[in-house]
Amino acid sequence: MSNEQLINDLNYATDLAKSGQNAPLVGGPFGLMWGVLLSATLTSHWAIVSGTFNVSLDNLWMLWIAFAFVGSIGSAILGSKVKTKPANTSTANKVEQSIWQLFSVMLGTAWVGIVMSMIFGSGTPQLFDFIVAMGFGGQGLAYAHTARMSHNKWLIYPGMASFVACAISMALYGQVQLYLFAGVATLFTVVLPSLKTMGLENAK
Amino acid sequence: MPSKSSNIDIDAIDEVIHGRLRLGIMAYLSAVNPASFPELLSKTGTSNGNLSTHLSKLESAGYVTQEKGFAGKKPQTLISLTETGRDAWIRYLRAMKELLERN
Repeated sequence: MSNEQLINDLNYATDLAKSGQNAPLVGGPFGLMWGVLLSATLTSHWAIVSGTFNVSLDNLWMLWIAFAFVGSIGSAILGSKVKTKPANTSTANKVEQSIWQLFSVMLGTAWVGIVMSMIFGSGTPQLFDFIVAMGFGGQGLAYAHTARMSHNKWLIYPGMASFVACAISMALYGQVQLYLFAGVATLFTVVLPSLKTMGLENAK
Repeated sequence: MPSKSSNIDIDAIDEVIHGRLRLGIMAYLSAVNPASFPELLSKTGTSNGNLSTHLSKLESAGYVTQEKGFAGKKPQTLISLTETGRDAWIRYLRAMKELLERN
């Protein structure tokens, strides 16, 4: 075998390995769906709590149950589509899928803990304000980790924005404006990055 | 006989991996694991039959596994790099590096 032929074959293999390693993230549609849903739900929460919507506070439970229900159905539908996308199993996509799944588990367990505190302890609905801050903090961690573990270094920016939103959410703890802020911040920290991810995926 | 300065001793190289297409398959699976059959077809730019032949060779060596299943209602074959295959890939790259450095 000649050196030239060998180098040619190795270049071919390198190109294939790179195309796998640089495969685009395929989770954009998930982020877009959850981001739009979450932003609408948080803003509606603020509208109910602030009295902008003239409805009983009891409707907050229905609002969040509807959020979880619609989000779960949306995820199931999108999940079956994403599974068949090329490079869905690249390292970057595996990291992204894994960290967002664990993020959901974290928020879910916090939610269960708060509900238990309200039923069996002295917890008040205000405890849910913590989940907003935890959500932004977890988002920041997910973006920053995906940025570090993949070639999508730009994700560090929504990551940092999410950490800032986490700090502001804690500062707004107990105030009605927290939910309006969170609704708007979600547009910038979830919806916009998801649109960019989808754009990059389509470009490839 | 070719001179050592221009050619490479292929004996030190894993023959199962060393073939343009099998090399490409192993390289892609090292980054995307598992990959579907159509995905590998598209990436390698080869024919259906050719890809099947080379995947069978890699499978016989225990370097990849082929799992038939469904993606929704469509039948799908997923090809995975095994631990043995990953070890062989790393050994192959190391051997190539040593040979190229010697030349």
